[in-house]
Amino acid sequence: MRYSDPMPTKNAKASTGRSKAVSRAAKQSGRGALRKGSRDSPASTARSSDRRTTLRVPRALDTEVSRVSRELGISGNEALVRLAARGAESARREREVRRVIERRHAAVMESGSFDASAAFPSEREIREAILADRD
Amino acid sequence: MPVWDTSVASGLRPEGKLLELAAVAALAGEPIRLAAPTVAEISYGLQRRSEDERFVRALDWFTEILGAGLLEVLPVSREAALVAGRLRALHPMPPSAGGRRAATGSKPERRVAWVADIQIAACAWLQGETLCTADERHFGLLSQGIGELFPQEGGLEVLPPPG
Repeated sequence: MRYSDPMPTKNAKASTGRSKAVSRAAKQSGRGALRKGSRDSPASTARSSDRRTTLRVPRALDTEVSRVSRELGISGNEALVRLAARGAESARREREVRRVIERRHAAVMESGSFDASAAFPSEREIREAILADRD
Repeated sequence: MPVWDTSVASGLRPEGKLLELAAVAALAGEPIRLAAPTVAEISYGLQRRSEDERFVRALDWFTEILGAGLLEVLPVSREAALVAGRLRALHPMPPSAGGRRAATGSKPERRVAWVADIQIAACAWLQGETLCTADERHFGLLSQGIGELFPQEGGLEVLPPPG
């Protein structure tokens, strides 16, 4: 998800407070038709039932929020939510990649339990198998 | 601690003398090192005989001792890759067998093994470690090559296998 992806409307009435640019973008992207509870609603779709919060925005982040807000013609809050949604998506992807890495490493290092009494190739056989290609 | 070349590490087996040496070194906190291409050569050699259950067991055992941290594996780092590439350009082919028994592998396979030797030499040299090998002819040549490429640093120190 890109921060420039528009935040879709909850319903037609709710769009009155949004900027025209977002409405336009939402329509162009076909997401304007998304309804509350729609299965393909992006993470940044706010609903009345969602948690409300008040927070302090660090100065460095605020600069970026203002930039996005200006670039896309959206409110500061909307920009903040979009950036947060993007960050959440990237954190989710990182977690997924970490899980894949762990799983693959474990798959490679997995070995059958070693039975010391079981037959093993002789040293000569092993050396021949490993060093066959060496001059 | 020295780096064991494939010609040495291929002698590792349960209750063998090399395993004992490796265990003592690991317990002292200075595990024996293998370059990543040695690990690849060993796993390749054992996997290609996997129709024989005993080789599957040997591969399992080798994987287990690596996983247990009994041996330290040196990666082919950025620097090692650079050294290996330059070294390969200097010596694209392995030295001729010179009357010795030739390898049973095909010519392309021997070249792959030569590239592994080059990478092993690069890894060991960058770690400032000596390389224990039964193949002094190959690694002697590679040591010279490294000395030519980096005259200020000197070549790779090569030692015969332990014991």
